Amino acid sequence: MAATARGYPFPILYNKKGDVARAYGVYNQSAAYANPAVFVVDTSGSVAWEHRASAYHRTPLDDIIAQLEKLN
Amino acid sequence: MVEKYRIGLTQLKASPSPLGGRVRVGVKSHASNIVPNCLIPNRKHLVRFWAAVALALAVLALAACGSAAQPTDEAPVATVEPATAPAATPGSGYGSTGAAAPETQDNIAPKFTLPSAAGDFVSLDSFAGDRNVVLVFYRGFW
Repeated sequence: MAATARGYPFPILYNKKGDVARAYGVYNQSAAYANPAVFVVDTSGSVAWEHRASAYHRTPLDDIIAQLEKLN
Repeated sequence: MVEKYRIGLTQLKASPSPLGGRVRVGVKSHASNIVPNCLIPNRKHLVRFWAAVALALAVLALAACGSAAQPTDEAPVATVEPATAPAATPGSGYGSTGAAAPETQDNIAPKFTLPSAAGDFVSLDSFAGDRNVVLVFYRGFW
């Protein structure tokens, strides 16, 4: 996976229209932005886990890692 | 800059807060570095920027599958297949917490192809059969 311009080892994608956020059900229509959320998609393309963070709370990194480890 | 932060504050206030109305504004002084100048000349454009979703795809090499396989069939257009939208499911709204078994019917992640900061296009499909994907919706501040 090629690094991005700023050196992050993952792609940073831009979804100006917010349609992807809508497709995942995390779009905040009134505020016109995506609510923070994390989805773990497995190799079959299925959502293995999801976390829609409450306002002002981030998804704990350990939770994400734990879910990824379950997939192996 | 001042105007920019003011807008951010307004949006935060409009959001439901479990903190009882307390508003915490996370201001990143270097935020302008990641925002193309063409996108922040005035209020209108700024709102548009925040309206955009910053998607971070953290792809972790946990699937010990073939490494060199590099699918390259993405069309150079941002598309979303609307057919499988688990999104509208009631009860999966803002504020719900992590669930081992998502409420969606088939659990298929909606496919997409979006432009990346590196200048290319990235599609969720390109990781199928190869990598697990952590898809992070990040709105650009906080």
